[in-house]
Amino acid sequence: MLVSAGGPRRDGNPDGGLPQPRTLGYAVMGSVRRRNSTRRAPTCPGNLYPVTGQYTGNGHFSVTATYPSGTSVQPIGCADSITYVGTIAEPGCDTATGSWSNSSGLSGSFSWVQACQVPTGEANSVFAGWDDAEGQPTLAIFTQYLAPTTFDWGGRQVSETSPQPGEDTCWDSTVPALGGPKNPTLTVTGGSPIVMASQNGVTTSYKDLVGATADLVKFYRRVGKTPCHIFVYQAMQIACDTVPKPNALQTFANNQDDSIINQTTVQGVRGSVKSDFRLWGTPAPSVTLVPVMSVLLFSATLGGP
Amino acid sequence: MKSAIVLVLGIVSAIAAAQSSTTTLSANSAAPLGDLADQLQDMYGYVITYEAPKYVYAGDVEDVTLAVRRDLDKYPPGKAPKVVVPMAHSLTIDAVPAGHVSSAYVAKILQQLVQIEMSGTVGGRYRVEFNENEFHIVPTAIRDVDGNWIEHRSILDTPISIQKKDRSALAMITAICRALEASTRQDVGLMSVPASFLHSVTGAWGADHEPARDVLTRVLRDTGAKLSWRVEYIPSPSTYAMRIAAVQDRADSAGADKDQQNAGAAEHTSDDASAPVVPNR
Repeated sequence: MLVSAGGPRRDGNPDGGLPQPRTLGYAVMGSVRRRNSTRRAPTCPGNLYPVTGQYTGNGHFSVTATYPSGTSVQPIGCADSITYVGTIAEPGCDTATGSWSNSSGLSGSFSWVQACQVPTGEANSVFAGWDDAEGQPTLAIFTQYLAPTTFDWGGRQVSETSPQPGEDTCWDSTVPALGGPKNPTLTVTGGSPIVMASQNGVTTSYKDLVGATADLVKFYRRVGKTPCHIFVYQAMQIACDTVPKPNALQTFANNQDDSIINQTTVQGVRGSVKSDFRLWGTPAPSVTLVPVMSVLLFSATLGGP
Repeated sequence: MKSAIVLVLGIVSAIAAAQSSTTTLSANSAAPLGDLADQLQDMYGYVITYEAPKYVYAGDVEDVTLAVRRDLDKYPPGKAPKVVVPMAHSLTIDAVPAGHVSSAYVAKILQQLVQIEMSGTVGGRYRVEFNENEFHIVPTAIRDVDGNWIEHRSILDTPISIQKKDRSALAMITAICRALEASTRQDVGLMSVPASFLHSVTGAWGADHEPARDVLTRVLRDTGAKLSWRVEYIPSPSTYAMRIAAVQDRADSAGADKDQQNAGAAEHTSDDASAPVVPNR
């Protein structure tokens, strides 16, 4: 019932899009007909009831369907209007429950279920800069949108997982700081899902930070591991409540992410999008020793007898 | 006679059943205690953190320069900067397989684990702290350069101060590392972290001369996610290495016994007094 474009959101923004009136109107009409069929009249013609209402935030909504005046003679036994007050459940936004009441004084509860909306992929992914603001200048920030961008994904939960291990050419099992025998960098780091936000029905972009932390880059250089890279498989997933099964995570995009650590530069790669190469930090001591020693030798030569 | 045979068979089968109800966990590495803590964390879904001590005794460390460095050709023989790590050794413990276990059980198994570690000839001594279904393995003693046991405080016991302001959890955790470096004059690296998630969580965090462990615990809990940490120590280049990782919920065990939060601590302080499980602050 909550299908169609612009599913209501649970993110507290009252500007969230309501379902298209036509689709919801059909739902309301069906309910009215069903109730009246047992209480007041054998049938209620299949007219569409125009719907008005609003999303009040935090998943709550209220809509009223009113029999269209002036279009036809209202059948006997059909209520003038019916109001639904309900709440959309997180995180999938594919179920809603609440109560209804109609102008005939009848009331009851309702439960709506729709197929979970799953993005068709990611859109407009770009490299957006380096994470200097958080003290992580070697993490590349990528921003992207859920596709289609015309759909309001607000309130939905997006997470990442690794469908298979990647490759870490920097890692060494003998150094516990690098992960010991269980290499943590072969998979995405995960964490809790990110809740999508939206404004005026338009879902905002979400960020993904790709790269080795500045401290890890520094450490790899100090122990002579660079150049090397950390490659992981990333599956982007969205949470659904009921369809196809309870609490299911649906994969909507697969990326191959790479963190490249060179002697003096770093680069992040997310899918087909690459950051620039950033000149950061100091190279391994050996690299600096050579020119320093050259200068010293040269100076010694100049100053010699 | 027949009943005696049945009894014996019953005992044998009971022993067999008991043996088959556990699985053997083992690790052979520079930080087997931390590795087994990770394994138990994965199996049971409880947060189990691990902090390594700062080893100084020659018998507790080993030089792995030749095995680790890939740039040896850039140095004269024997002149490459040393890479020294904790001495590899092995630990083994039997534990019930993944599934429903109480926090009291986890406390008990961790206590056994640190006892096994302490009975060896390599490594440090530890205590296990327990608070709100989270466990912390914290170093308490190491051998000094002469091999004598001395008291040792974890780097996360260091009081730190950080100006309170709105920032992301990632920025705050990074700030914790920088504050530790400032307080200890010791490199403290944030090596691995769920960056995208922690970037998305913001809060007004700070610290006022508080132990770093308390500050870190507070930030991680405030994210609403189940996160754990592990702090290693690399003797050369002298570095503490912190890793933050998400802990997967186990539907059949997570939050299994909140009513035992205190019982778990009290129950396991008596058996092995040398490695008590103590309530955290």
